[in-house]
Amino acid sequence: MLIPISSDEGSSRSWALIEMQGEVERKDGGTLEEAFDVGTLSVSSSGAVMLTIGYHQLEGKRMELKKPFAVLDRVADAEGHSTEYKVIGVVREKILFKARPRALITKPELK
Amino acid sequence: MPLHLAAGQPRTLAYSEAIRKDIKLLEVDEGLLDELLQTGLHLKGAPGEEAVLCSGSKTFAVKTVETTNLLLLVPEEQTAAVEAAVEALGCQDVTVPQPTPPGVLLGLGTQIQKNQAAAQQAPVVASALVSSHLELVPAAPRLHRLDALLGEYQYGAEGGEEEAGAAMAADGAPSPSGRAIGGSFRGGYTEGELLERVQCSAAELRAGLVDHRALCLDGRYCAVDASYQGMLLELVLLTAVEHGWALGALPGARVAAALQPQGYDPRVTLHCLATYGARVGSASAALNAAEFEDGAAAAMEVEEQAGGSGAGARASGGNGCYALDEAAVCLHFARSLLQAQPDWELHDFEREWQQRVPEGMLPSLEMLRGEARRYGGGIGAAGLQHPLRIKHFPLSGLPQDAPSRFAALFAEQPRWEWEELAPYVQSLRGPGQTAEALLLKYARASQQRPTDPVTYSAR
Repeated sequence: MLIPISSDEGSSRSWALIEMQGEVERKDGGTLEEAFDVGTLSVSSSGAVMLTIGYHQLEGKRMELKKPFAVLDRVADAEGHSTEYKVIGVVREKILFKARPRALITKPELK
Repeated sequence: MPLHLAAGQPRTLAYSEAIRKDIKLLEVDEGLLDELLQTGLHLKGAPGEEAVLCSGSKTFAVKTVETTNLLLLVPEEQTAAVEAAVEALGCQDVTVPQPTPPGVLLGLGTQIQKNQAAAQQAPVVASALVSSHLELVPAAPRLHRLDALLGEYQYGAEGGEEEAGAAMAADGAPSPSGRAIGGSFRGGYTEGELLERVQCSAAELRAGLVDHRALCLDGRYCAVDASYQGMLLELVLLTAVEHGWALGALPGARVAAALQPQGYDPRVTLHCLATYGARVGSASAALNAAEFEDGAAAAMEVEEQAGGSGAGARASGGNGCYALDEAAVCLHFARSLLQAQPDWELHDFEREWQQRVPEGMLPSLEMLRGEARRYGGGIGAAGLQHPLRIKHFPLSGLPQDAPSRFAALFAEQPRWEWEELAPYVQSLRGPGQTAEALLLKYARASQQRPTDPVTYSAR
């Protein structure tokens, strides 16, 4: 059995990868299959990337991958017989969040 | 371009609708990535076999590496959309709430500000989620399947000869390779078919076909029946003696022509010469050889051959000269002796062997490495010297994978010295693996006294 992996025009697209330790849970009753907002991504002046989810903030950084990843999408023929994979993108760097989330606490103003 | 994040411009991270979980990540180095984008790569494997990835020249085992981390994939962003959002933000009036007092971490106020700002920008949408990726480990090509496929059709075994013989008779001359005419060879497999079924790359396949001495007829590859091949060789040797041709410079075309009336396809004859020897020189060498013999008449004959089988010569190079390899020819005769009688007294065997090989060839036991092993010698219980013996023990009869092969070797003989063991295990080495590593894994080394040779036995 021969499964070709090939690329067409989509192959030069650079995808981004965000890596986090843990799982995302929804507390608002929705499922993970719907479209929903997770949090806010921002970058500080020092270059650290921050992801704010509710009252937590995760700090991460952008790093280049040792070996790039090819993003493969499985394509089945009309009849469903021969499958093949298409390269729909390349990932060369990732944003890795591995620090513990920090709680954001507002101190009441001292009067 | 990948994720665009600028200081002071927060963006919302969001899951897309029905986030995909079936996307795969394949880790490749830059060189392989280039090849993937230009020509593509292939995954190969029969159901039940471990999957293998093949490029044009290399083979890799495919491993899945799992992670407990969450990996979100964000497709390439359209720079225009991102920049437009940034522009829009610049134009708007963003109401700034009370500045956060110093010493306090980002307060709620800043949070709201951030979220508002982020809402102005294009969100970062993760469209796929993965929890593992595919890793490639360089591996040796799995050529045992090639053995099986080539062996399916044995040219020269019952019936095979007739099919190809009919093809030959139909045209009267070897058919030009590549074109399928009525009656052309149908057995065996084409290179494309082999590539589909064997877990190796194209370059490795071609090397394997040369190694296996596969016969190529009309673009299809098959094996030649061993006894047929041996018989053909002996016929070639007899013919050479008849015509007074030197075994180091056999004129290919003339040998093939001499055997053709007896029903041997010239292509198969030439293949036999290539199997037991190698091509040297060119048409001019063949003409020179002819001049020594019958003078003008022979020279004209060769030229006629050259003219008539011109097309065939271009395709198969039959006008070349072939030099037979002494080791290969002697091995053939040794093998037929051992197949007739597997166990010999060494002395008798050597004498018999010398008689069988063609004149001028000198057989030596070195040639039998991987085919037979010596044993015996030493003193018996009664104080009599045991004679040295030789026993048929071909590599071809041993299992392909390392553990079974070592088990079979140690079952045959419990202790081996490296010299004897080497030919039987060399082919088991993976890419970059040394023989020492292989022995360390599967055998136990021991040494009676520091001056004795090291012997290997089962672990």
